[in-house]
Amino acid sequence: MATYKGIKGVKVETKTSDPTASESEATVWYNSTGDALKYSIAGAGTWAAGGSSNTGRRYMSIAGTQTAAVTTGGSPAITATETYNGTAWTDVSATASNTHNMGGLGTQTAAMAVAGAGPGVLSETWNGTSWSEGNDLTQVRTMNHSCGTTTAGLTAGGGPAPVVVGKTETYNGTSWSEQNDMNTDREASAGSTGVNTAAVWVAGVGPGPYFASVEEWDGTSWTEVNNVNSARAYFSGAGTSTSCVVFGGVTPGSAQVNLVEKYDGTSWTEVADLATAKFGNGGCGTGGSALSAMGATPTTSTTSEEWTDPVYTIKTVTVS
Amino acid sequence: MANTYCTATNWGKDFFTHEDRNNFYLSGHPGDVWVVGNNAAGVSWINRVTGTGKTKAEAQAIVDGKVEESQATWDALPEAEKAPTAGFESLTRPEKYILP
Repeated sequence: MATYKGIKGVKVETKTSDPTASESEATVWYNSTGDALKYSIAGAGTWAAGGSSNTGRRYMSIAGTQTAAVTTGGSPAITATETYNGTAWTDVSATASNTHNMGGLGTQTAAMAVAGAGPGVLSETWNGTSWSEGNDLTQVRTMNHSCGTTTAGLTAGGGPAPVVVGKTETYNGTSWSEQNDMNTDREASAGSTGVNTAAVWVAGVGPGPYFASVEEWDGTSWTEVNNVNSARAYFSGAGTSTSCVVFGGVTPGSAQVNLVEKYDGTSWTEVADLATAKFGNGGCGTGGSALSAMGATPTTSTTSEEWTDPVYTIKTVTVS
Repeated sequence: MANTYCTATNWGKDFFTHEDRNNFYLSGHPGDVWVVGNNAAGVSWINRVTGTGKTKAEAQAIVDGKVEESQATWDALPEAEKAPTAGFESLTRPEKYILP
């Protein structure tokens, strides 16, 4: 009889309990407790339910990761701040001056809320405990996407319509400075949340219908790259310029959608949908581990969803 | 029947899991309405979340009611807020839709 060692050249390891699915990808083991031969595979990404916030929000600022995030503001004129630990949202006794339609960047303990409704030039920094106002941006903007860190930030585009801009500014920890404009003026875009020297800005709206166009930032200038499959605006995203996922929003002629696309640095692929269609949702994390927080259905929502890609699953070898 | 229908309140973390999403169709709608793939895993999920079973017509009526509430909210907005900026596509009045 053929043996596993005879086929693969190695013996099957015996374990009394299963390892985690992600650590054991592409391996086979014998679970002596359950008397079963098992293996782990990496499957397609999916969304699972995340924690529900204390305050329903849309168009808020959010930063951090799927397991350590901070959000503030949101429509209608919310200033309260909440943090997320991967399971639950907690109110923290801090409010920002920025209210809604602003960009967010950074981490749970070092974040920024950038521009947005109101004066449209405020930048506020969160240190894990409180918000403090920093130097203003040069360009008035709202519905602007942002990425990077509190010492190396980036924001570009924004409205409000009809004065939509493609203006770009970078932040060095102290002040904002103007950079080369985007090719297409746009607001209500989303995209990568990673570093400010390599970013991807996706879709949005300007004069005419919602955009499907995408631009990449290399730290100096913007280049048009492959379009997303579904033109959209008022959505969110997470990741880097080589591994990015965008989710939700509104598409031309329709209400909120649950459509999700991921980017590998070259092209966009439609992947598993959100369970609930939303627009104005917040996004943070990475292309493989993202958080879609709150948003509108169109009623303002407290629920969140968590993206994991790939999803590892332990399987049992059966005889059939 | 491809789908079944229920109402259930999303309590947050683990209300539905990655495994659930891989095992059956699931989509959430206004009014805590959930459309669930009609297989053993979907039925098991409805039990786990203490869902209340609905016919498609009942589920559709709940969603329609919530959309009507959203329409009323939209209609009450100032005209300046509702009116799209000339030449721009913008958010539109919520519309009823048919559940899958």
